[in-house]
Amino acid sequence: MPRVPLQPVTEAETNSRRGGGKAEEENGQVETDAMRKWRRDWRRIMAISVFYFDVGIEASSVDKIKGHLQLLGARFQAFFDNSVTHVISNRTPGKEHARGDILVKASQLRMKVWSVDKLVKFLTALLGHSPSRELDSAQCAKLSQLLRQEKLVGPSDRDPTARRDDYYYFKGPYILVWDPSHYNRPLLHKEWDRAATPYEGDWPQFRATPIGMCPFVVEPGVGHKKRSHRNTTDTSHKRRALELRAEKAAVTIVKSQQPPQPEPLMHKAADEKSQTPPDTETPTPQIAKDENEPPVGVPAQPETSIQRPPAAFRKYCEITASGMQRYSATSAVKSTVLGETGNGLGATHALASREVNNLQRKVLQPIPIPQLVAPTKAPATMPPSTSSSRVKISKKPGFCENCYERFENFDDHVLTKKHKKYAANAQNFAALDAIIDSLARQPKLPSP
Amino acid sequence: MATMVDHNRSQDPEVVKEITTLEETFFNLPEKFFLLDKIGEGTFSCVYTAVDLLRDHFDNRWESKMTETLSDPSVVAVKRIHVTSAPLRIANELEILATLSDSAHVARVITALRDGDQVLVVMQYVKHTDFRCIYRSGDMDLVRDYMVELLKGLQYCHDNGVIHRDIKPTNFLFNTETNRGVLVDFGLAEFWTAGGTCPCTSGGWEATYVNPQVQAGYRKDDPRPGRRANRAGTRGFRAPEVLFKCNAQTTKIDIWAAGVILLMFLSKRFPFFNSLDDSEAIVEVATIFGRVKMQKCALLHGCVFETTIPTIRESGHAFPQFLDWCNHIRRTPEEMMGSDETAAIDLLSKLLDPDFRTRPSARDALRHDFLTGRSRPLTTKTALPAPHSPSTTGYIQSNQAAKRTEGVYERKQTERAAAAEADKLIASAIKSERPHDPSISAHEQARKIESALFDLRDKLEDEGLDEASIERQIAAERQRLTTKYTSLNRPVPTNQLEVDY
Repeated sequence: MPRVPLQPVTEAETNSRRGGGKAEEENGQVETDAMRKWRRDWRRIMAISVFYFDVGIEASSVDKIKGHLQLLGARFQAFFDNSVTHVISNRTPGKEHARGDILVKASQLRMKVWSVDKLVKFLTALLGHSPSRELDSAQCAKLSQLLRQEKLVGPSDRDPTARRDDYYYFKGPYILVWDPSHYNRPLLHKEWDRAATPYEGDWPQFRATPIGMCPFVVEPGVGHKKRSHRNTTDTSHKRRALELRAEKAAVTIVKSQQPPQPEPLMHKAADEKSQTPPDTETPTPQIAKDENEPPVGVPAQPETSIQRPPAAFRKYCEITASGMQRYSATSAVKSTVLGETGNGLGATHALASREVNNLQRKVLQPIPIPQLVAPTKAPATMPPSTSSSRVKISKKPGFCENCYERFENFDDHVLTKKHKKYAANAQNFAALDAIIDSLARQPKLPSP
Repeated sequence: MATMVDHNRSQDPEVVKEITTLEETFFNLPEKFFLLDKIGEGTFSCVYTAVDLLRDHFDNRWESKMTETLSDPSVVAVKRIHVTSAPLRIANELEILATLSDSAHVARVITALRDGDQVLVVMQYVKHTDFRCIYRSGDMDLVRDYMVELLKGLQYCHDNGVIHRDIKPTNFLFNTETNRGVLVDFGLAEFWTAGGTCPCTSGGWEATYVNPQVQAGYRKDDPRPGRRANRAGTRGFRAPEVLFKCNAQTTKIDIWAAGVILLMFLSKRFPFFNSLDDSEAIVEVATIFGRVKMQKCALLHGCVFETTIPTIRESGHAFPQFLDWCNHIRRTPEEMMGSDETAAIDLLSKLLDPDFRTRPSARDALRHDFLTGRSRPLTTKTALPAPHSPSTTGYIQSNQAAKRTEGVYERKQTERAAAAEADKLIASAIKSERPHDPSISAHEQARKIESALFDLRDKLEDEGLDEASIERQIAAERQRLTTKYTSLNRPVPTNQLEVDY
């Protein structure tokens, strides 16, 4: 991963120069807002800083300083490498050093090079007292926290390249969003199977889909078949692809023979599939040529092609809201219900998919397709009526905020003793009733 | 005049069963409302239409403000909140609805009823056009009207300190006949509060010493707490700060969602994002914006974005090229995009700014060239008809002249034009089947007046007048134009509707 460039002069740094001096001179004065902000910012920065002490610095002279830095969450690197953010050196930077000297490298990598003096001044400003003071008992208590932290993220001086048994290392393409201050566990992570070419990957990526449809979704049937056959038969998905193109071309032809008419949003391909398509119009795969061109690894649709209707489940479903903040549900409940990344245990990938299935059941609701015009064609191609699909999901699993309970069947849950008891208690609804009362309709004024 | 909403009960046996059960179990309901049909079902509620049986007994003066969005005042929407919802959540929704009861851009709450754990919220019924009938029309005037109405609604909410949290086409009811739109479903909405500990509150970590080492894995049994933030909303519409679990979210999350809707219009794709979870959502957003911007955005909210997905590029995709790709358009370098499209894409790139701090507010977005119409050399189709009175002031006439230039919609490829035509038919089919409605001509008038006033405001702003005196002049001019138009063409009152239940 590319190193995040260290900005030469940041606002925080400017403050540090100003603030650092100020604190030294006016120690004991009332803290200003700016100073508080400066401290807050730098404490955050310290939590993610990595120090390297240059050769020539006596270990005994910095022992106490190190203790304070450690308490602030900083780490130390015994050997210089590019993970270092701060180099502490008593040599003057910038003065004709040999190529390859650490100070030269540090300035190339835009690391901070501080003298021990500066570090002491800085810490004095940040801590509000001299870093040479002994750690008091309260801080020693923090040290135990620190040890716990070490247990968590490993010793601060360990070799970062060494593999750890308690880690899961990604094997395929992944996304990981993590907290660099190491306070929180990773926000989310997900991994996908490796693919022979990027375009075969299962992760969301642009797919050539007909106009009107989501550009991230392979048409169901196509994608999954392709995936399952990927490693066994190379020809089967090609054949499938050809069939598909043929299908699309057929739709195009049939459509172009008809006068343009309002699209009925209905699936017509079913009976048109049987027609033999001309293969000449099959578009060739277009490969992205330059950075500005969107990637098209799969055949693009001919421009005149009529939009194939979306897959059945997407056609009659509406994405509904999810992931609301529950009033006082515990985080455990939340992560289970909302299909978050779980507790970070083991195979969250598989876990997530189950949660996601639940979530999907919850968030995909059938809705009737609007009738645009009086249907000219017989509704023979109409999908099964929405009521029948409604029956399918009438089990309605979910979460009851009042009983703090997950349920499999909504109708069953509302008849349980616990729920009925809650519903019967008017006290639970006192605050709500107050607002309902304020919304009572006002009687009509007598007409003048 | 015929009623615009059918006052007969649905024929669907499932719906009838559901409705009768509700009528039988809810205290006194049949005396107050005659339920007609089920018109929506969400995660937390379902919505029915109903005839408001006791309407004449109540004070309905609020309706005068809503004439443009109120198609049939005797029909209301009854929102039945699932009994598994916490009373506090319902109270929150009602409180927000009560706060937002003074705008034509938010569905008006009429009253609320409770019987046991069952809560019904009675709302203004808004007739609207299904988004799936319009998102592919390619009609830039429609897109403009839609976005203006949506952003006006958001401006009103945000001015009142409310974050909607669930902006999406199903929650913004836009009517192509009246070109008016109304925000609904404040079930996830919240009042904005200052605070939160996210690093973005103090500038983020974009320029500090973060030096993320590649993790390439995660601790298996991680006892550290997870980051928590309100993620309420609909997948595919969540802003990056929601995905990165920022706990200092602002009204800008609604602006992002509005941007996603504009993206659907311009790409003609619906849904556009189709993620199953937040991880996939981030991958989708990153596919467009690229690794660098996502990394920057993550750092703003105090986290590191790390990925090895090969289809996520460093710098992402430029909107114009990427939208052409979505629309299956291959453009030669000489072929230019219409100025309307260019302006719309510019607005899109501003609404979909991963950095919420530079993302415009609803008010700022409404000043964008695309939405004010300044971007467009108007075709005859969109030009305003000549004013009724010969005594029109100069600024209207000069504006008319400026607008009578040619051609956004001219495209060289006849194929594409034909395709667009077919798409437009969908929208026009709805329009043509409706008889003439006087409320529309009333709306047309209002539209003309507002358009004229907008030009006046522009002119005055150019002259460097201060806000207060501009407002005064505008108010005076609005008064003058309104009296003039109403004397010319008095609209028929819309509340004289026959009831046939």
